[in-house]
Amino acid sequence: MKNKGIAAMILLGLVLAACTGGTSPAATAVEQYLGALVGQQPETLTTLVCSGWESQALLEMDAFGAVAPELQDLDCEETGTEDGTSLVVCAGRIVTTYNNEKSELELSDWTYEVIQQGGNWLVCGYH
Amino acid sequence: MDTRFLRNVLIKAAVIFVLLNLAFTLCYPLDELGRVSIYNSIVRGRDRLPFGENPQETYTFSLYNLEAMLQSLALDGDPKAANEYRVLVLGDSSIWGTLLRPEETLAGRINATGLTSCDGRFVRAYNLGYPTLSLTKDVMILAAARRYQPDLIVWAVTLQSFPKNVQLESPLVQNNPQRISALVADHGLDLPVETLVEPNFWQRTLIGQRRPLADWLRLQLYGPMWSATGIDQLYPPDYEPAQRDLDEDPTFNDWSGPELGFEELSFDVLSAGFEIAGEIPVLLVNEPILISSGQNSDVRYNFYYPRWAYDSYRAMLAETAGLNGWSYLDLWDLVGADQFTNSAIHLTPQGVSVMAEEISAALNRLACGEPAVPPAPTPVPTATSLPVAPTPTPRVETVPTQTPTPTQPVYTDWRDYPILPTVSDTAREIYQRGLAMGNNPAAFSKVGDCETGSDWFLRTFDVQPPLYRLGEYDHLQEMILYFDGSFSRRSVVAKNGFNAATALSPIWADPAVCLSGETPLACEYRIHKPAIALIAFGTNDTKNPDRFEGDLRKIIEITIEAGIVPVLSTKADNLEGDHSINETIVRLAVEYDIPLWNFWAAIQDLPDAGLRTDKMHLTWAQNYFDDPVTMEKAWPWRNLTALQTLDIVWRGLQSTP
Repeated sequence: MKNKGIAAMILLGLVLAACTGGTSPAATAVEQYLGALVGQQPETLTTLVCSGWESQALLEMDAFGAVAPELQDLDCEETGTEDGTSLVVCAGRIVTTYNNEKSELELSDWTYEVIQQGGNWLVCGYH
Repeated sequence: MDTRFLRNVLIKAAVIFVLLNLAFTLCYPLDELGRVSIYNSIVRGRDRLPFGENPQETYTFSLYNLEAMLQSLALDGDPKAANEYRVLVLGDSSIWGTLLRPEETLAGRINATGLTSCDGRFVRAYNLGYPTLSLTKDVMILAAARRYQPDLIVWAVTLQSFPKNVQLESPLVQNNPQRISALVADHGLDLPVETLVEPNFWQRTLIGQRRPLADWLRLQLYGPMWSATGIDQLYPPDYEPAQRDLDEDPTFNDWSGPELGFEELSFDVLSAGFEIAGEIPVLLVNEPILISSGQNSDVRYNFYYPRWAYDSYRAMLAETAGLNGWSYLDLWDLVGADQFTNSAIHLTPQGVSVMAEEISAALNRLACGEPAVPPAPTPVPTATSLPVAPTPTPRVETVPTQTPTPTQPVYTDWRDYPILPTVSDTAREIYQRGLAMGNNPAAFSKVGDCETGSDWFLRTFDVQPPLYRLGEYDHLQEMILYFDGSFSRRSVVAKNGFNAATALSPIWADPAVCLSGETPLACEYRIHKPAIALIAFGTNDTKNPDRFEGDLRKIIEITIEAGIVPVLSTKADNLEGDHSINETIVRLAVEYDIPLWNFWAAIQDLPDAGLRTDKMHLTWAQNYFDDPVTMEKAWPWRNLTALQTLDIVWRGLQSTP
């Protein structure tokens, strides 16, 4: 009886551990990309994006050049794959401040495209 | 005495008291309590909001239960009659009527004129002024009083009510944090609402609210005395008159000029008032001030206002009212200095009568569906000679080598390029191709940062009646009429914080009007289909000037591909320190053989090169191109040279390449 109880506890623990899951590497890559974007870190940013998308990524970063951006409530999740590309959607927003005026850009409007290349997960665009 | 009985009584009383407190805290029925009133039933309603510090003599005092205050007014009495044209008068102590009897206030004087509207209704004005200087206080009262079905709102304001830092200082505002929070949330106001203290649990109990409860009770108790005597203020025969000899201090609100910043004043709160009024017409009045002729009156108009600050405020208020189509009366100098009492804004009864006469005339027109101010005659060009922006002499001409081959003169120094453009065959070819693609020849788009998205950039040229004077440039009127609608259009790709990269980033496109994945630039061009794009970037690009060129190239190429003639503008500032951004802009205009508007060159001869103390934003004045004083500022030059540029490009594009 005692053994059955222990087994049940272990099983329950395993189930709960499975349920908690964890952030996928693709989602982590997008979170790091957004962090570098608002942090205005071009060197970091270029290591997190595909080479073909590097110039657009720098442009996306420059677009925040005058507005003091800040990430709020960021939480990214891989929602599926399409032709070998992982699709990631993020909750949260980028809050920008310009001349004491705040604006918000909702992140949930966009789906980020991420691929694995040479062991690294790289952001290759969004739509 | 049975001690057990006594103990039970005490315990029950304590329990009932705790329960009552708990119920009160949860329901917090101060507004509901405020609606219980002896006014307009047992005693007559008051003529103005209760305010004062001496209730024993004036039968009124300052309380903060706005609902109870409104319920005490005659306004809350009988329902509005079918033949009543109801006017609510908002403002500060000058409207409330410091040192004035109710019948001597602005509302009282309007009522005394016996006005009727065109449909025969009699005009009845109600005084909703309250003695503190804050637009937010006015808007809070308006929001609460809108239920009284006004037909018109008269809102008297003065500069001292505008600074952001005074908005929440009124005790009436501070003691109504929930009302203010709602206003901020509903209208997106830029107010530090977090500094207002919401009552905590203990403060919401019967004990915590004993003062407001006592105030409500006192307001009822003073009702019979007010009703019997009509007294709600002391009228001392002697008072200290408003200061005529003034300090030399040129500052206003710790600002030293030379002009006020639009963003430092609460124009957003003013707009919120108009939003709350909705379809009810509002007559905005800049109230009279004392114009002193005493000591240091060359520096200051009066105790409140240095001349530079007040002049700047008047210009901004007139421009903002015009741009928004608000009915506006500027009565700042209407009343003589001898008609002010104990403050630079408090009028004598005679002074109020003069003001009431002007307002009644405007009110009469508005009540008949006419503009508050009769349309001014079309401005006649004057012979005033203007400072003409210099046309630089070329230093050395070089032969261009880029593709397409530029057809414009080329100078070695970007500073030497003329302010106004020439139109090349390349531009004409782009234009013709664009027309074939369906572009609208009578539309142009603004592409740029906050200085280009600003209401001050060209917007006024779509507003009727005209708020500009072209003076000797009246030939521009034809072009202004041709491009009607584009001047006031809010571009999707000219906004606060935008730079060249932002225009190309889909994440910045307005999801309400743009397609998924569309950039702001592409979105603007798709929606508006312009033939010409005024492109003015650079001020917000100083962080990464090395990448600016690539971004601007993309913007130019996308514009050309869409059959739209790009017109590049240089910027006024040199935040990058070496003018490299302007050099890039000019070089690309030459390389692509497209029109260049060298705005930088237009303002170099102005005081401080047309820049405010931040060395970034332009100095401001109205668009009176025949007034040498306003033409000392950069904004009228920006608008004038933009109009000239559009005119030259528009005319130049008409010939075949």
